[in-house]
Amino acid sequence: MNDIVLQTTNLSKRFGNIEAVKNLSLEIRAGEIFGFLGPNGAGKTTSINMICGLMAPDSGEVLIHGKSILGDGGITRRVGVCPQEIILWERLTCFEQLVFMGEMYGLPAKTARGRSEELLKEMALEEKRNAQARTLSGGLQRRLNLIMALVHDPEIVILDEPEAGLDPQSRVRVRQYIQSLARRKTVILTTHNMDEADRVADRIAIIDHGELLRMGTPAELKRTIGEGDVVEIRLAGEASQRENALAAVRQTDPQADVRLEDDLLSVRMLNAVTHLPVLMEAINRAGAQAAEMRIRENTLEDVFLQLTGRRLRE
Amino acid sequence: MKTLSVARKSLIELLREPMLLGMVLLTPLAFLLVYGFAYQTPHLKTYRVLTTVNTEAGNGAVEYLRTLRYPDGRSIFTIGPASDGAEIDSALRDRTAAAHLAIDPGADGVPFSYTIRGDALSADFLSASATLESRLSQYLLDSVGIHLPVRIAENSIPALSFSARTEFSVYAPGLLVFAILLLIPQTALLLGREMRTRTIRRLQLSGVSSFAYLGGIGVSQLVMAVVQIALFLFGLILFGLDYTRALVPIFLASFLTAVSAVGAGLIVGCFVQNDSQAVNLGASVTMLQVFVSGSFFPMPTSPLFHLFGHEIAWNDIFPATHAMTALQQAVTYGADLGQIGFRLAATAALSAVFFLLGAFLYKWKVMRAAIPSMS
Repeated sequence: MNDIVLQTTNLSKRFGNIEAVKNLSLEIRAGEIFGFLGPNGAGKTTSINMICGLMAPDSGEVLIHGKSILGDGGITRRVGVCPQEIILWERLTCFEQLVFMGEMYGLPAKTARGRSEELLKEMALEEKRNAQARTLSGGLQRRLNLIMALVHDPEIVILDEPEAGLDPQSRVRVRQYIQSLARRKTVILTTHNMDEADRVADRIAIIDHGELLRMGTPAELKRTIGEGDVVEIRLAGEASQRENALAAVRQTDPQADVRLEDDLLSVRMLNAVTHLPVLMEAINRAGAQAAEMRIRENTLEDVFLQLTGRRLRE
Repeated sequence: MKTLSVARKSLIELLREPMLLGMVLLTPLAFLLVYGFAYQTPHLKTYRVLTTVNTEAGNGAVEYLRTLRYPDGRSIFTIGPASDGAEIDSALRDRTAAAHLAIDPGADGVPFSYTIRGDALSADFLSASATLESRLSQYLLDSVGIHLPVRIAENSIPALSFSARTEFSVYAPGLLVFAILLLIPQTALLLGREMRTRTIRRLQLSGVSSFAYLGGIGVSQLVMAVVQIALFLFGLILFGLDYTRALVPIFLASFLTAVSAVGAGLIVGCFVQNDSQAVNLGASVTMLQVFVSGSFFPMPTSPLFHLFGHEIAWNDIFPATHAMTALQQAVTYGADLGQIGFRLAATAALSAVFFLLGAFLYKWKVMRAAIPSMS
């Protein structure tokens, strides 16, 4: 698990006045699922394009097993890329395009056919084996798009927003499949979906405006913003009453992290459940009322919010 | 191996698109049908000439013209009297008559003088007036007892054994070149489509070389070309053009033209981002080559220099120009490989240049990526 498969050092890319990626340095280990988490336009896809060699960096380099990809002609055999958009040959069947891509990666025809059958089965597409890509639903096209990256059995799999545009059934299938790849392959995925990153990735790099903000396991990242649970209370009442409630709740535990966004009061504290009666009493005393309440664990959204002052979806 | 995989994939895509396949294979046949029926008139035409005879001596000349025959027995002229000037002008303007011949009394012992009028922009007038002029001059000289030591003798150029040559046989080589040059937009379309659907990105990622990829596209298009040429040549037979003695040179010239068309299609493909751009730009390049090669109309050019005894003009930089000349000689006169060897060699050399230029340009403009193995 500690073998470094892929390394980037001070990777930078600029488009005109926009610095899309700034000095990105990463080390990705063999067999891990590594997530790039950030909002749209954060620089995730640009980073991926440089890592897989589709885009030359302005500075810095990408190393695979310690060798620069610029000097390694065999890079394409080691990396499989699933692009964010669906890229398929409209009039080829699922099987034909998998075999074709296998052959383009240099697999013997027999191996390419065998591997294609295997992947269609793994992604539950065997019934659509002979269907042309243009006749598939969006979800099935996405599944096919994903296994196209795997047909040559690459060591590193790069998935750019693999769950984007998926229906719930396909999302579950794709997520399970990505998790099944863990340990067998090194998976790098980009996402702006914190839930996807949290559930799937072993380690996550949070990126915004082209800059790496923080990196670690989901648990480590969540710990950086404090221990405990988050109580979210939607307040009814006037703005002044809500402000009073904020002040009253802060007084109940000076160690708690208390925030008010519009009518949503968030309280991060240890043993939140046992403190609930105290919190409710403070709110009532301030003249406000709790219209809705829920208790949850820290999320990556909270981490991103603390790091940038913005939510991922903004 | 990769080249064959790309070729197979491209052919599968073409076969699954009936509209495109139909356009590729049927458009040349449609032109063939139109030209075949429209130009079934014999190549040696019988010209209608209106006459105004103002002297007794002229009647003999008119009778003489009536007796003139082509070697196959058909009359060269049908002679009809003209009633008035308005009728004559109308017939010449509408081209229902090729020429007007006015015969007037002669002077100084010459039995008659004559005037030939017509539309100088009409090909029929140019042919009819030349024949009238030569035959009437001869008739006049004979009538006053002057016998020139040189007499005009008309013999046909050795040609294939056509039962009846028609104008269609003259246009057929040009149509064949045009049909083959339609491969330019078709080849560009395949490349434009890879750009539009972004599948080219998958190919870049796979590290397939430009030459393997473009070679595959080329092979698929040449397979289509062989089918297209075969259909076209079969169509020519249906319209009575018996070229079978020269089948090998005709096929070779056609195939080499197809190679050049694929090369030109690759060049066009470097500058397009989608299917419609490919078709539009490709069609423009096709029409340009059709015209400069003289496939539809003879292209007036001045020779720049001579090469192996052949005049070379500016439009000879296009392989289609040489192919057109070779096909004309093979289809019309049954020329063998030796007789059109220079033109075939020129077509082959220029086609190779077009193909390599297209491949290098595509590699440089499209397939180049950050990783050396992808470029």
